[in-house]
Formats: sequence, structure tokens, C-alpha cells
Amino acid sequence: MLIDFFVARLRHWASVFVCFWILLAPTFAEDGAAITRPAPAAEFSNFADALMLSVTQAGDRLVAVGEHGLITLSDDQGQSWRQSRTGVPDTTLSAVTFIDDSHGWAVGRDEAVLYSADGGDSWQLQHWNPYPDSGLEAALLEVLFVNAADGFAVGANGVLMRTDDGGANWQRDALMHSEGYEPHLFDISGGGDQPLYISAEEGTLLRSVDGGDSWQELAVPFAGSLFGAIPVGTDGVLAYAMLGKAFYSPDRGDSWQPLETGTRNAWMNGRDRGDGSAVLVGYRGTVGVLDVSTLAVTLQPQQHRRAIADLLVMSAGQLLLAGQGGAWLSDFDPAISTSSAVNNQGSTALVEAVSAQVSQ
Amino acid sequence: MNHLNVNRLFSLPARRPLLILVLLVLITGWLGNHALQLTLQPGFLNELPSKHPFAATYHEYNPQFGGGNVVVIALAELNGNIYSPTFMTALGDLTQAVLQINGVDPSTVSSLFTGNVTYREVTEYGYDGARVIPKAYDGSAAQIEQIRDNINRSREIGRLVALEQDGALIRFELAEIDRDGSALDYRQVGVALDNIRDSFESQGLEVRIIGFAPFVLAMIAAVEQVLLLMAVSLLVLVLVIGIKTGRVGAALAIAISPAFAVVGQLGLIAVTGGTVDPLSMLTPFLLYLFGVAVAWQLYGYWQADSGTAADGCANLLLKGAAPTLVVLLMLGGGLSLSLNSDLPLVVDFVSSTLLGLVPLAVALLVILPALMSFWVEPLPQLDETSPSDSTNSRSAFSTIVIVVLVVAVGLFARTQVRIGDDAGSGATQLSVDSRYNRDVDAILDDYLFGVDQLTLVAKSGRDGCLEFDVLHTVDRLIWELRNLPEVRSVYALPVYMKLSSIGHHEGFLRFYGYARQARGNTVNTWGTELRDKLYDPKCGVMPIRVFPVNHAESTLRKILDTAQQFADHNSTDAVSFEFALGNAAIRAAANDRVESVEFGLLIALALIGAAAVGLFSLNLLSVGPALLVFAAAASGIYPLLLLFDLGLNLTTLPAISIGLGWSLIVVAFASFARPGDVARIARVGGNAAIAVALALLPWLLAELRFQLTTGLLLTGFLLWIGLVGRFLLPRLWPQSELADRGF
Repeated sequence: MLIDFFVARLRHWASVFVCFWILLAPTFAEDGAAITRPAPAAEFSNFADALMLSVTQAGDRLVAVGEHGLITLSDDQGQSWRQSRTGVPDTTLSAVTFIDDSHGWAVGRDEAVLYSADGGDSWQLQHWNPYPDSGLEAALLEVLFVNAADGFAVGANGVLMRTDDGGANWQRDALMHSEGYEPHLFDISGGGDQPLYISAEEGTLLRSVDGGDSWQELAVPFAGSLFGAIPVGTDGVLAYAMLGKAFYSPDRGDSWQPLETGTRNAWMNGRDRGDGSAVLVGYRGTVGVLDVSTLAVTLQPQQHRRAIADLLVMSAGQLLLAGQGGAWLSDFDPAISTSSAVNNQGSTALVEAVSAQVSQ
Repeated sequence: MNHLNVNRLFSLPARRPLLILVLLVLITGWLGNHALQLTLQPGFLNELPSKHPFAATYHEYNPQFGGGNVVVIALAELNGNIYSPTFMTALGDLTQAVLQINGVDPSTVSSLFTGNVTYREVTEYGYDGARVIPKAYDGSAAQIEQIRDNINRSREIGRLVALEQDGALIRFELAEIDRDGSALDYRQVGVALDNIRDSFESQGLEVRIIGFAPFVLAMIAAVEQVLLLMAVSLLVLVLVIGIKTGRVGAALAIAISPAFAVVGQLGLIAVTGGTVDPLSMLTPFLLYLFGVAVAWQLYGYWQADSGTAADGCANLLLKGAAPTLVVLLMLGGGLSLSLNSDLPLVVDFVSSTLLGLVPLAVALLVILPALMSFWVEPLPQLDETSPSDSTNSRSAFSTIVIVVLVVAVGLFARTQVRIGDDAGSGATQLSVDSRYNRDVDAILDDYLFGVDQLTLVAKSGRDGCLEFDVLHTVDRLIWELRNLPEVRSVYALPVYMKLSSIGHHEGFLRFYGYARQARGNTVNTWGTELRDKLYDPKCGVMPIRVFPVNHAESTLRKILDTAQQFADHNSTDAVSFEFALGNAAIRAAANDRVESVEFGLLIALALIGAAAVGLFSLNLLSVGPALLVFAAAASGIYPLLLLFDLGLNLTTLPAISIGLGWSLIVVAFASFARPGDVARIARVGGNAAIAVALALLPWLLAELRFQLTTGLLLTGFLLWIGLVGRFLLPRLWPQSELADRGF
């Protein structure tokens, strides 16, 4: 009898608890981190087999990020790399930026924002929201800090996030609201003396001259996805896209001119070389150099056919490329039409979508 | 039975030789007639142990995900690239030719010319995609340019198109049961493949063919050479025995009588409905050589003071029948322990050898004396009372020290011997520069896929393959495997999905990832079909295809251990793992078995051998020396494996087994010998071993690496046994006064 009584009480309290939980759960759900603890990034050393998506400089150090939360550091200008995984979750990291030799941010899937105050040796999760209220996929694709406090992150489904306290708090910024459709924001660049640019789907390129408070749509003559835009020189802007398309504006985006690139391979990223030329990289080892004075693009295809996601201009004769096969140094000379990759023995995970099974 | 009756019985083969021979020739003829119908029947699964955990996984999932019996034909343009009308037309013709082969499963054929090969591209207007080669192919220059464009946009470079774009391949599977419902006729497939090779090579193209079928066909094609080398060995054997004994008749009788046994053995295999796997084709000959050695030992007893064949025969059987039967029983007993092995190839070898033991006993104890009664006069009997070389305890002691050292070296070597195959990537049974292995190397160079495959299986519930947690667990395993230097690459649904996600986002690389929501992942599976074998119809089971860098045991072990460890820590109700399919999994499973078979055999032979020697010879004093001699002889095989860089695997196992059995011949005959006769009998046994070793030397010219390594290993081992028999055995045996007093 007594036992029956206790069981009944237990049931009662259990149901009360369940009711409370149902009421409380949504509040927990607002903060994604409360629902899902991210799995930590695993140890990995086979860098030549990894897909690296972004590379940047932190003082003399190079920092690259990529799939499975792989962050690698190089203190010898890209000759050798080591993994940094303290505080890093196992998720695809898309982009990394440092404002000086110690302070930097990395962003990626699940709306992950990582912060490092020690040049990338250790990281802490500033933001993590794998299940946004929209119910859509959460993936940040690019991060930009104009100073130590003010930063932006853009991503899939129209997500633009801003911070004015070095990332301690991130706010969603309403950028565009066209009924139920949020275009992917692929890239954000500029800042300093330059305007800010956001590149997006359907040929959308936005410009902000007031530090991101208001945005103006520019008329790029293209209907497909614009993967990025970089300031070149004082007033030039180079926008690059799918299908090997690229466009140049001499007047900060007011007027545009399509470029003859000679390739149909999509461009993934670009850098200003600071000498009146800029380098673009993309699929199948495509490297192109734009001469701003003539607007001619010279292709320097790599011997390998791996996709290149990002680059750094190391010196006059050398690029650091990041992509399928890790991050590797590549000889480079605008005068020569082909260059040879230094690190050729990458694996082929991406291309090797092969299920050929042969016995014996 | 009194002495006279024993003599009458034991001299029977010599007294009625013609009658006996006619009778046995008739029986052998009948069996031989059956043997002629034996075919070399390859079996894809003969190397898979049926009770190994991998076997259950294999049978459950292979029909869905298995590579099956895949053949790849690669066509290469020697001057230029594939973008010419002649190459494209040839590739189209090749595709048609392959579809015509009886046994090819048409739904599995894929080349640039089949409808299942398409390119896909995202443009500003949406998806654009079509067949890489238009259905209405006309070979015009404009169309060739179009094809070049399509190929560059497809994912086929490295897969169906060579990396340098100077070749293309066609890939298809053979159905084990063909269209007419009969078992796959490998010979017919072989003829078709040869025709294809000839016809396209005559067009100036390079043709490479790999797969299980071409591998087996290469083995079968070498049969003629195998038989030729066996014949040469036979001649050498007759020559060596002839020179050593000084009698042609003896040489012929010793060489011919065991041949009856082999014909009988093959006949019995045929009568009992068996077939011969190409991987077992040397074993009958190994049994034959084993028989020759025993026959020579028996010849040592072909003695009679009277000089009559009948007395010689009686003497031979009186002294030789017991050790012969003991040797055969011991070999049979030792092998029988492996009869319940679940490895079909081992059972095949053991049962066929067991079937050969009865014919061998008849051949040795009946046919041999019957033949010798025609051709050879008995030798005079020796004076057995005077020990030829007496042994003192001092030299016996030092010999025991030597034996202990030899055994220690052998045991140490045993721990160092590699299990399984070497680190190569081609077929280990064929020589490195055989056409088949050159084809494998060429294809590995020109394309991105591996030849060896280890497929793990991830299991979840219905539609589990769309769940983030399931995908992420599988993906973390893939990531761990990709970190191993032993892994060339890994392919599975999460990898496809991540790539597919890039594709769905206009090719933007940073979209690499699958979705948190199942409906997002439904999109990511677009463009893949069931026949891509990335998931089962319920989307709950996913194969994880691992391509190892080679098929060495250590490589496979490392991959499997890593995966097992991951599975132990990460299996949940939502997702679990099963191992493994693919040809590399079959290898790994076989490696697990081979070691235990060999170890069991070794122990069985030593224990059964010692017990039998003691029991049957009624000479307990010989048990200790018998064990010592056996240990010393058997220990020789392991340093030899190391010396020749051979592993303990299904290819070497028969040679090792027969070799270990061989160690017993010398021991058994010495045990049954009169004390004073031990040294002579041991010398005869030693000579026999050395003679057979010499006869195996021509095998070093073999084109089949399988035959070459068997020859190399046995030559070395028999020389060692010869040395043990001639020099160690006489010093160990209790042939002194002590033994004489005992009996």
C-alpha cells in the first residue's frame, strides 16, 4: 500500500516535471549551445589530405582553417604546419581572420564563431547556434573585423551578424527581407579606408559606406552567384563568380566591366597584390592574374587539378594556396604562364569520388 | 601368423607383379579418366573463412554493396590524348564488345559511352547536365570538342578518364550465374577478353585489363608452364636418382610409382565431385614429391641376400611398411585437424591431400615393389650388427645443444614471419612483371582508385542516413581513417553529401558539409542512386569504402583496429558498425585463419608424430630423439620464409604443410630402423630430400610467382632436412649398446 502511494506520488511529480520542461525547453532552445555540445575536433596530422578553406596571417604566423575543425599554424611561412585544437569543435570552418599577431576569429558551420587571443594557439567558442529559429541551415561563410571591436560575419540564408565588443556579443542584423527567401551571403570585404562589400546570390553585390549601417545594391551585370569582391588599389573593385566570370569596377562599384578570364572554372577567392595587379584562385588549380592597367587576365594553371579555396601572396614569386590538399606554397610569376606546385603529393579525397571496386 | 606366412604375404607384389600391375593400372586408368574431367574452378569466395565475423557481414551486405566480380579494361592512346575520333570510336566499340560478353551484367557496365555517365554543372540559370558523350555520337570535330568540354565539367577525370586524359576505362561486373542460369564460364570470358585485347592493340592502342577474372585467367594460362616445369622436375629427379643409385630401373620405379598416386588422387577428387582451385594446382605435385621421398627410403630396404625379387620385396615391406604407414597416418592426422577449418581453400587442400594418402600407400607399398621386381635386382643385405658410426654421450650432448640453438632460432624466426601478403598492390601469386601486375600498376598510375578495397558497414535505423548524428559519427570515423598513412582514401555517403552540398550551392567550396536537418540532407542525396551503392533501400545502412595503400597484413590490421576502436567507443542505439567486405577484407579474414591452421598443424605433427613413433616402433627411447630431429627439421622453415621474404599465407601454406610433413619421413624411418642401420637409413632419407630439392630447382624459372616461391621455399627446406637427416640425426639416435640391450 505504502509503496503504491509512493509510486503514485512519483508519477505525479514526474508529470509535473515534464510539464515544466515543455514550458522551459523553448527558452533553452534559444541558446543553441544548451542543446548540443559540439564534439571536439579530433587529432589530425595528414594535412595533405585535408580540405582547407581559408588562410590568413597573424603577424609572422600563418593560420589556416578547414574541414572537421582543422586549424593549422605555420611559423615558417608555410613550410611546415601543426594542428591547434584546444577549444575547437568538429565542424567545417570556412574562414579565419586576425587583426594583429594575437587576436583572431574563425567561423564555420553551425554558426560557430571561434576566438583566439594567443595567435591561434587556443580558441574559445564565442557563438554556436546549430539550430537557428529559421529552421534553415546554419553556416557562416566569411568573417571580417575592421578593428579589435567591430566585426561582421556573413553566411547561408541571408545571415549577417555584427559585434561591437570583439565578439563577446553577436547580433543578427536584418539585411534584406524578401518574403521567405534569404539569399546566401558568400563574402564580406573592405573596411578601413574602403567601403564594405557583401557578395551574394543572383548577382547581388552590396556596398556600405557607413560602416555597415546601411547597404546599397550595386549593378553587377551578372545573374549568377557572386562569390566575392575585393578592393584593388584605392578605388578599384574586383568581383569574381561562378563559371569563371569576373568583373572590374574602377570607381568603387558604380560602373562594371566584365573580364575575359579564359576559363569556366569558378573563382573562389582573390587578393590584391598591391602593385596594380590582383590574383584570383578557383577550381581545378586555376590561378589567374589581373593586370589592372590593361584589364587582362593571365591564367597560371597549376599542374595538379585540385580546387583552391584561398590564397596569400607571400612574396613576388610565391603564393600560399589553401584548398583540397591542405595549404601549400606555389611558385608564381606573372611573366610565366604556368607554375609548378611545391607540394604535389596531396591526396585526392575530393576528386576520388570513386567507387570502383576491383578484386585482386 | 607365422614368419613364413608374413613372408608370403609381403612378397606378394614381387611374386605376382604382372597381375597386380594390370589390376592397378586398370583402376588408375578408370580414376584417371575421371581426373581428365577435372577443371580448374576458381572461386571468388574460396579465400573467405565461412565462420569469420567478416563472412556474415559479407553475405549480408555484399549483394547490395559488394564490389562483386569486377573487371576493368583501360584503353590508352600512346600518342596524343583521347580527344580524337579514332579513340572515341574505339572506346564506343569496346563498350559494345563488352556488352556482348556472356556473363557480363549489362546494368553494371559504365564507360563514357553508357547512359549512366553524365556531367553536371551549375549555371546562372540553374542546373545544366547531360550525357558526357551525346547519344547521337558521330565523331565530328565539333562533337569531340563538346565531349572534351563535358569531361572537364564532369567528375570523371581520374575515374573513367585517365588523369593525363590519354586514356579511358570501362568497368563492369561479371554475374556468377550467367544469362542461361549456368555458372560463370571463366574460360569463355577469358577468350572474349583476349579477343578484345588483340583487336584494340592491333589498332595501336594500349589495353590493360584487371579484376578477379583476368587474374584467375592469368593463373590458368600459366598451367601449361606449370606442367612443363613439373615434367622437367621429373626428368631431373630420374637423373639424380639414377646417378645416386647407379640404377636406371630404380630411378624409374621410384619416379613412376608415386605418379600412380597422383592420378588416383585427382580421380578420387573428381569422383567425389570436387574441383581444383587454381590456387591449389601445385598441391598434387607436392604430394607426388613427398611420395618420391618415401619411395626412395623404401628402396633402401630393397635387399635380399638371395638376390630374388620376392625376398627383396618381403624385406622391403617388413621393414618399410610400418614407417611408411606411420608417416602417411601422421601427415593425415595432422592435416585432419584442419579439416573442420572454415576456410574453403584450406579444406580444399587438406581434403584433396587426404584423398591422395590411400592411393599413395598403395603406390608405395604395392606398385613400387611390383615395378622394382621387373627392373631392379635386390641389393645384398648389410651386416646390421656392427654399428657404422658409434656415438658417445659427449657428441650427443653437443648435438643436443646445436638442436636447441636451431630450434631457438626457428622459434624466433617464427615470431618475425609476416602473416599475409607483402606490401605490393598487384596479385602476389603472379610475378611482379607479369602482364597482369603490369596492368595493375599502369591503371594505378593513370587513375585515382585503389585496387584493394576494405568496406566497413555503418548501420542505423530507417532513414538514419539522413540524420545528422548518424552522418557525423560515420564522418568522424572517416576522418580518423583518413589520418592513417595506411589509407589511400575513403568514400561513403557523408563524403558524397558534403560534395553534393557544394554542388547545390553553386560550387562554393565553403558549403562543404551536410545539414543538421534531415530534409536538408535529402537534397544532398540527389543525384545519387541505389546502384551507386552508398546506402540501402531503407537508407539505414551505409558502406564505408576504404582504399588501403597496399594489402599487407599490417596495413589491413591497422585500419581494422582503428575502425574497431572507434566502433567500440562510438556505437550507439542510433548507429553501429559491422566489418567488413571487399577483397581486402577477405584477405584480412584469411590471414586470421592461416596462422592458426599452421600452428595447429605444427603442434599436431610434433605430438602425433612423437606418440606414433614411440607407439608403433615399440622403441620408447627413440621418442626423445624423434622429437628433437623433428623440431630441428621443422625449425628450418621459418628462417627460410624470412630469407626469401615470404609471408605465411594461403599461397605458402601447402608448401609449409608438406614440408613439415616431410620432416617426419626421416624421423619415422630412423625410428623403425635396426639400431645399426639408422645412419644408413638417415643418409638415404637425406639424399632423397636433397634429390627432390635439386629437382625443384627448375621451378625458379617459373613465370608464376606462386610456383616460384613454392619451389624456392621447398628447395631450401628440403636441403635443410637433408642436412638434418644426414648429419644431426645419426648423432642423436640411441644406436649404441644401450639401445641394443633394450631389444
